[in-house]
Amino acid sequence: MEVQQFYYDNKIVKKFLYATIVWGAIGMTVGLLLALLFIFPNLTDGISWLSFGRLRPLHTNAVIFAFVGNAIFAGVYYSLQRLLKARMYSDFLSNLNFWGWQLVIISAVITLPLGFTTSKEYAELEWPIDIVLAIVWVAFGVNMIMTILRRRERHLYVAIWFYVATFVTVAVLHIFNSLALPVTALKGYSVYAGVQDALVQWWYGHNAVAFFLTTPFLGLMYYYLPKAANRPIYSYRLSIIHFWSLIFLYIWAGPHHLLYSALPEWAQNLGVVFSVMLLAPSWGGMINGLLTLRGAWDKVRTDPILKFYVVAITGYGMATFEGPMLSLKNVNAIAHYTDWIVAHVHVGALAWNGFMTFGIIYWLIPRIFKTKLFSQSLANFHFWIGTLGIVLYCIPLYVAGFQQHLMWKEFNPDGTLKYGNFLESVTAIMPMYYMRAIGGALYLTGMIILVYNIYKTVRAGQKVEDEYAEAPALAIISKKRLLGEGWHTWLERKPI
Amino acid sequence: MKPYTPLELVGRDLYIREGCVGCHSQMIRPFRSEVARYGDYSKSGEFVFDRPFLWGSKRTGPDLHRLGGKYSDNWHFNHMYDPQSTSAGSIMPSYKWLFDNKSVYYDDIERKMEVLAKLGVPYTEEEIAQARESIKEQGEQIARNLEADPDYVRSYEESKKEAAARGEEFVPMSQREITALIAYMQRLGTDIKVNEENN
Repeated sequence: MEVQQFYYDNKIVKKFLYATIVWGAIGMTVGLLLALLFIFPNLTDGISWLSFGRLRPLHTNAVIFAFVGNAIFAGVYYSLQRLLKARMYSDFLSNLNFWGWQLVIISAVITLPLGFTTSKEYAELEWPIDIVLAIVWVAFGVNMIMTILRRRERHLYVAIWFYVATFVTVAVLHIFNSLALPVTALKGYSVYAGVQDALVQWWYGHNAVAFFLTTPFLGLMYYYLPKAANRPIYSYRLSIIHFWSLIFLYIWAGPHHLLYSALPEWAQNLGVVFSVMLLAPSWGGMINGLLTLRGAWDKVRTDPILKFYVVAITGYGMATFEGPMLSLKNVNAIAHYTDWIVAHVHVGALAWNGFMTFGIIYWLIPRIFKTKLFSQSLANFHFWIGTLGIVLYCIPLYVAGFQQHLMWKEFNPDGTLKYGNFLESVTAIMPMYYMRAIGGALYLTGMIILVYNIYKTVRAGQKVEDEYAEAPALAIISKKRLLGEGWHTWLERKPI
Repeated sequence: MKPYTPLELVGRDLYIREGCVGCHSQMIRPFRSEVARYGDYSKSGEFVFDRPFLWGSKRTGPDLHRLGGKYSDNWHFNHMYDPQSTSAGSIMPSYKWLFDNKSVYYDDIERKMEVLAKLGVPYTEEEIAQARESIKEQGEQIARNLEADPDYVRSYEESKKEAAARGEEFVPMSQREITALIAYMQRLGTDIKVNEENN
């Protein structure tokens, strides 16, 4: 077959990487401000748009959609093109994806502190912004799917499966949970009420974790880890098995946010059962990741990128063990509403999402700027201070969570509550809130060090150019199964 | 179950605006310790008109589902103005802007009630037509309740003079945002009737 010549779009990757870094620093700074507001509640006294309640959704949206979101796009746009040996289908759609996403983020930065919010977690943006988000997301999906259809590499590597699952599921989740009837340009009422709204919200909310914070990152892990380690993935078969079981089981896990609530018990139990089962496919991902480093552990000692990935995947394993445990009703009875849950969230967010992103940034920037990372030792320092930050963030909050639970439920011998005044439980955990703020500050410091290191790297590098590549177009093979061809191989090469 | 009154609806939307759900839950679990602390555990039927639901995920502060009737209007007034004045050691921030000398916005109240009615909340056309009247009446009742506290009366009269000195038109307390929020908070969890014998 005649070899075709084309260029990979690196400029779009650069744009998304810059956005990832900027929004990451901003989102984490807002997070630190929130941590400070716990211990200095009058810090922003009188300024409504800097109050905790208004800022919390800004932090969550910034770190999830702005930081992690842009990281996903950066990682996907780089890896997808190379895995498919094809440039992105449409530069217009690539840029629509980029600028549209930043527009959504800017809209969030303006509307959320001003109090324009639906109050539904990770779905706080009001209906007009939801519509823009849907359009941008569809643009991303169309661009990705068309590139897949135009590919020069027949086999769809497992990472691409994760990317496609991410696109399809997030689209469905976002659209259904955001359904609202508008009242004004900046306010709508959810079409669901009460218990139904709770179930739809947490079907969405948990699957935002599943299909925005997990599946794209598993896909990215399957590309960037073998690249950094220069080893193949441990088991192709395991990747297929855990992919399908993960995406099937995860959808049902939502009700574990509603245990012992007014949600009917049958729905609660479904959530429990599927959440517990989810342990297996999640750990399939962790095992595949960690065992890929067999024979490469000496590299981990010197390479900061691999260090980030190891802690990321380990953190993923911890969080995906803790999650099923927290979904057991008796454990949930202890943890729900306490700071244990906040600790759990931040293990996943800081270790898995944060550290995977840092590893990818440190790997991609030197490549697309055709230079070396400015300072390996600063990257190593970032790793250590970030890891310490995670530990100081999460462990105090585990302790705080237990403290809250124990105080909330303790009775005197005469049947009255021992700590009848809720405030007593707040005062008891103030030291933990101080430590959490320190942990968060360390993590943010690591981020700032990354900003400096990347800035110096970019300054020393060359202008980002599209990358030349050559590959033959796909040969046409019969749609029918070939003699001796495995069933799965035949299935894999079916066009769509 | 009756739907929220117009003023309570305005107050609920203020609760949403200020992000109260970030620190306060509204879902009492069927545990002895929670029933002892907060009141009867939350039943699904109580939330049929809640759009969106406000069950919350975190108790930085206490659960609020059965807040209605627990504290006086004055307590809420003082607490929202300066939480540490009623609750020593509280880490809740103050919400002084809810007390500003301006009217709570409710020009869209008919539209809000119409949208909710379309979604199935049983507001009658009469109720929608009389929404502003209802807001005025319920607000004035709360303002009257607040006068039970002589300190409040004193500082209220002071603020009238200050507004006049600044050349501002004085907006009565019945029409301010805090009043709407108090209306909502006093409604919370009052829809179920608890048999006295069961206590």
